[in-house]
Amino acid sequence: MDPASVENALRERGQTIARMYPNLSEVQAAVARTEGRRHPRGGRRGFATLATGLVCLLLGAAAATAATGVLDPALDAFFGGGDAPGEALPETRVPTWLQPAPGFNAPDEVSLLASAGSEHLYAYRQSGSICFGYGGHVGECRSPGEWSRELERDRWILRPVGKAEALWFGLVNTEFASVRVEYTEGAPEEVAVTNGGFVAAIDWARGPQRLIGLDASGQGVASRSLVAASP
Amino acid sequence: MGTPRGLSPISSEELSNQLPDAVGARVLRALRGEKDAEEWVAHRAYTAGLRLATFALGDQSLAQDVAQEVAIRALGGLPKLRSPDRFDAWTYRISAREIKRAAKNRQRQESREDDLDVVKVGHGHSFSESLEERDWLTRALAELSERQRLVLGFRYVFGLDDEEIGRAIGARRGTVRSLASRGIASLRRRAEGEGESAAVAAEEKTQRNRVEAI
Repeated sequence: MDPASVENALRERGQTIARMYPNLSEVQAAVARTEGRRHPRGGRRGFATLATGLVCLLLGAAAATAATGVLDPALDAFFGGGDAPGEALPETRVPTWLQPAPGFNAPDEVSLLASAGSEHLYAYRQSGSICFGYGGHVGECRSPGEWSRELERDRWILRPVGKAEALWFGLVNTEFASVRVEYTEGAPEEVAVTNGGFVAAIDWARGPQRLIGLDASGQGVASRSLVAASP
Repeated sequence: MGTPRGLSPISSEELSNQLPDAVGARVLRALRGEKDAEEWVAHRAYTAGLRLATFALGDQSLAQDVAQEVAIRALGGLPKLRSPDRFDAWTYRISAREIKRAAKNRQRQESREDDLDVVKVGHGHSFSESLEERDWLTRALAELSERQRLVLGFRYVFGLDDEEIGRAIGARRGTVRSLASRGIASLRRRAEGEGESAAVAAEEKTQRNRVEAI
């Protein structure tokens, strides 16, 4: 090996390892093993039952959510190895920061999930990971299992991005049909969920109060305060 | 929101650190006994341990054992954590400690096997044996000291600066800098040596071919 490339090799090794994620079962085993120590009131006698119960509960919950299909079918297929949902972008429309460049991995494909004006939520696959691009410069890559687990657990994944978090990007499960931004001044604004995602632009001048996820009948299914996020 | 062309997308950890109270809030929720937050804490600690141990120990199954221990210690010791926002730095310290412990156990086990002249059967391999089959960098890293490997792991896997690494391994910034530069210098020397051996071997082969041709 060329001595000059030692640091490159270290960097490459570091980047490869930084993409490693554990299996859910390994983490669950660790949680179960600490159960008795963290909640000692139950006593040692109940440890095995508690640990087994927790593992069964977690596995059962995962199985139940998978069975009810709460994940958006397009996202679910994407996580399972299928095409990225939404509109597949031709090379000419792929944003420059996602285009191939020397020394950086380029996405295999880029598609458009949702938009708000000129801001877009992208989906792409890169080096085996599932990635989402938020606007003009931020991307997040994780394993398919991590994405689906978080969506099953939290129902929506919110990513406030940009100067003073003016844009909120979201991935949602099938319960959500639209998202409403409520303000202290003026009428609320509603954005549609498309392909399991949305982009909401926040107008801080109007005093944003809440981000509310709505189902098809207009009923709120989740909400997040925007007051604390105010710049 | 423009960014120079070719900028690598940031990792989920980096992004999650940018989110308001993402780490601290979840740690607090875990302390209150909320199951999903506890699982998140375990996942984050396990991931940190797994990555650092994979780099420093070069052995996947040993890295998994270390990661499991890191997650258990992080979750079990959560009530002792003074500042929830510093959860990551705390798990780095736990990871470094567990890696040192695992390396010491491995060394002890290998020297015991040498003493007893153990004959291994089946798929069992010692660390040094399995390294022979691995790539140059893994073998070269195995020649470094445990602390050098940890410093390089923190730098190249997590992107920590010297001060953060110092806090994780309990060393001054100057010591960290020196451990890193000596480690890299040692890797370079080894690379030069291997390059020379390869050149000598190639030259010998050429000479042999010439003699055979004559």
